[in-house]
Amino acid sequence: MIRAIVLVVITACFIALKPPTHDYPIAHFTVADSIKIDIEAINDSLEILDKYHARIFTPVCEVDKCYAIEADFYWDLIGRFHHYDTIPGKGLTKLDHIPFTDNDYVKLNYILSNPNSPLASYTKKELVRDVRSSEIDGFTGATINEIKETVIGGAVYSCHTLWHIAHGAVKDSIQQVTRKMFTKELVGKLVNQQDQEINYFLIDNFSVQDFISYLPEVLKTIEDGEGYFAKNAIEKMPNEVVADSLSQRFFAENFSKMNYFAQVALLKKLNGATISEVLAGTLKGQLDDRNSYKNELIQQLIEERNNQ
Amino acid sequence: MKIVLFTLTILSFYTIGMSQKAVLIETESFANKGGWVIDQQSMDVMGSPYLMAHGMGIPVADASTTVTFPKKGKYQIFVRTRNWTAPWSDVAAGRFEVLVDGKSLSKVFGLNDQEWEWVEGGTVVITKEQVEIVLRDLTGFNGRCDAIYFTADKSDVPPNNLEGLQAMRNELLGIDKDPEENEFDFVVIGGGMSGTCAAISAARLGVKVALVQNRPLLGGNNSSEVRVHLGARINLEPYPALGNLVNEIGPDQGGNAQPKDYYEDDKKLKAVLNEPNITLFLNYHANQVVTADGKIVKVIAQNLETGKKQAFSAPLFADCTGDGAIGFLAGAEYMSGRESRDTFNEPTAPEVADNLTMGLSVQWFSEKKDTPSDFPDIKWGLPWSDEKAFAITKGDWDWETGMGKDMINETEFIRDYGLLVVYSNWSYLKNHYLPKEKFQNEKLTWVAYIGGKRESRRLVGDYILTENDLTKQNFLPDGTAPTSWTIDLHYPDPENLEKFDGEAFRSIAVHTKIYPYPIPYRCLYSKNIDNLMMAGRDISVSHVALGTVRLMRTGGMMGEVIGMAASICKDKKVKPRDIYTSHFSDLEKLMLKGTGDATIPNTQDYNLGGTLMETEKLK
Repeated sequence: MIRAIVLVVITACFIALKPPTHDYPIAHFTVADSIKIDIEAINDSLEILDKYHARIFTPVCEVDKCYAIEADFYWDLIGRFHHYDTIPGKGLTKLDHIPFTDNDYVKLNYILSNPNSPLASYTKKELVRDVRSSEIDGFTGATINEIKETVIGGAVYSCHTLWHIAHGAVKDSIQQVTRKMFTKELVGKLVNQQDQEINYFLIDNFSVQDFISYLPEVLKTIEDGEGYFAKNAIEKMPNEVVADSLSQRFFAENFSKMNYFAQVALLKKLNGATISEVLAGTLKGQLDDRNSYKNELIQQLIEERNNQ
Repeated sequence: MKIVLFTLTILSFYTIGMSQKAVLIETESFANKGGWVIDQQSMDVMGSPYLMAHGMGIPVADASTTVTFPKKGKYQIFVRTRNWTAPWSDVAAGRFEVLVDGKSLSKVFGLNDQEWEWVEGGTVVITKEQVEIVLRDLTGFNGRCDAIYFTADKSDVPPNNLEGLQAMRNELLGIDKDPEENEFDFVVIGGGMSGTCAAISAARLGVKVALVQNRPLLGGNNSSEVRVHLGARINLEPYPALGNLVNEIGPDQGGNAQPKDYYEDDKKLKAVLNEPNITLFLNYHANQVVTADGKIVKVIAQNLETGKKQAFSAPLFADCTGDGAIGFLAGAEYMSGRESRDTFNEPTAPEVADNLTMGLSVQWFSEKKDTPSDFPDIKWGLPWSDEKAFAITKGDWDWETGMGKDMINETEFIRDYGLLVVYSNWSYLKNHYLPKEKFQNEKLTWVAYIGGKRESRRLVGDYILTENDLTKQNFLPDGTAPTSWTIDLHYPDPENLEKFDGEAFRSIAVHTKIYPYPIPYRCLYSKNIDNLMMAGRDISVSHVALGTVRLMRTGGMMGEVIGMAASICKDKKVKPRDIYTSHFSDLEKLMLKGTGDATIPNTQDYNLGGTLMETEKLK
């Protein structure tokens, strides 16, 4: 496994981005409270970008006592927090330097794995004030309960700090890095994960040239897509890419498998395009007795084709 | 638009009826209602709207009216009332007096049985033609009175059975005679979010609409009477323009059980009043339907105060009543309770079908005052203790009762149990709770008396939406308004169920996130009543699927859609089903365009609910 250091700056000033086969720093990254972390890109055995890693080292203070947290954090290629590892001999501690129990480690993983944690909505100050309120009854209980689920007793600040490192601005920064490293191999690897969030990341970030270069991969995401993905992907595809012969062959084969809204999106996109005989044949076969916008669009396309 | 109210002349004509020997007074028609409120929620079951003293522990101001007697002389008096706490206690909570010409009858009312019945009030001698009748509340705890009957005939006892009662009303009040006839293109019954949006949407597309609502304001569960905030998302794929109308009339801020202003009743009313094509009938309860050849010919509605009837003829009707009341009266197929797992092959459904529905919320709150306030130490409440007490100052959606009961025929009991537990808890906190000083300055200032229902009848359409459609994203070509809330099913809170002898009043919610799913158009019209559409919680869905579609922003968008469909029905002279088969492209184009104002900033950013990744990605 080959590692390359990618130091990312929160201001998104990336400098000298290079393929992740070189082991040197690229940029800096700073999280809240001026905690600086170095993020490194990790390649797989085929030297294709695989994930991101950072060693977290930060002091955390609970009331008037401070202690250090040291751990390894990992994110996937679109900046989603993946997991953390402790460092041998440097176990995590709570208030008064009480070591984390096994359950605490499990709970920390649970807390950090939740991207929608209520911790996102709380500043450190709010967290402490609410948790330490002595009026834990019906008047303040609702807020307290929200937080109780998302922290470890005696390590409230730690949970908050670590969650914000895992899910804060680092995600956007990692996505910026990945975006600039698109290659045929990397895009193919991403598409093969059959993960709709990744597929959305791709179509949201592809340039016109990317859609041309990675057309087979785009078509695979459409084939795998659920819900509105195919509709959205088609709407994002440049007209010339939809009209490409490879696309037309794909849509001729897959039209009937696409949901109604993807079909309508494609038919709109084909307006003005020269439609192949195969695709025209497929579309004619899709006409049915029931009135629909889809029928109307197909009829328009066939008519236009006949007039061309 | 015009708004149809009533005049005092009409009022006295319709709801104080008399013969040579008898006078019947419907209390809802009292000229001065004082602090008493009209409750119509159970009128289909017990026969009439009635007055209720909803004082939250403080006796309300007298209600009064002046009655003209046919002749002077001795009259026997009967008062139609009930003891609402009788199912739970020997002590009656809602006690009241009746005063005739300034003198109290020598009897306290509200002490009788739990059933509505005529209670003898003794005799009075009427010495002048015009006499003032007064209802005087003694407790502030929901005493209720439907009607007062004076008879000069000693052998005349008013009937307790509903048929006999109705016959007496018809005879003395003439309420069945000469309904005013009205003709519209489209009659929308129910003025909640879905009905209001249906009416506005259709009106903006040139349809002449009657909007019939059985409360004095619009909004339904989102009105200041119930105070549930809007939920779910608008402006979603595949028709992002759907929801613009919801945004126009929806309150700018969210929150359940908040102060009245949060719910912006006026905003909804003004939106309707601004539409020249809508005639609004507030305070009219639709309770009769005339059908012929599998379609509705006419719907007849009764004014809650005057009893005056309006008949609505139209080629097209919409049931936005929540309870599917119009469909039921018309003989539409419907479902209720929970379907078995096998019925629709739904993983979340129970193995065996049952009658469990989601419940009715009675929300409430107290306010902190500068000085201490008392609350009666009630003797008719449920047994309470520190362990049972909820030491809180607000009851949210999860103060929910009636799960497993009949949401139509037991509405009054279900709502009353909601009131009973709120009062039981509050009385305990104020008088017996160990740290009761914490509540010393808290004053109970709002308790809903209009219950917030979630579920009752679901009318069957040409398609029944199920859990599998939602979870497998089985997008259908006739998809319309997207439902985005979780499949959010409520159950009795097990701990509460155990503590309160199987009669839970707190609920839990079980959520399953979904991708936003466009509700098929075929769920929005009745399978067997040709000219009936639906929007809101009474559409064609399984119990499980109801868990997501029942949110009010989603219902509002359904309303937008059926309003559009109504315009197509009018233009093409077709029935709702014909749109699916022969004119669906017209509806698709209207859905793409929308009927709401797209230029208004989106204020509907609260209580959106969680969805699966896709929507998050598209923000």
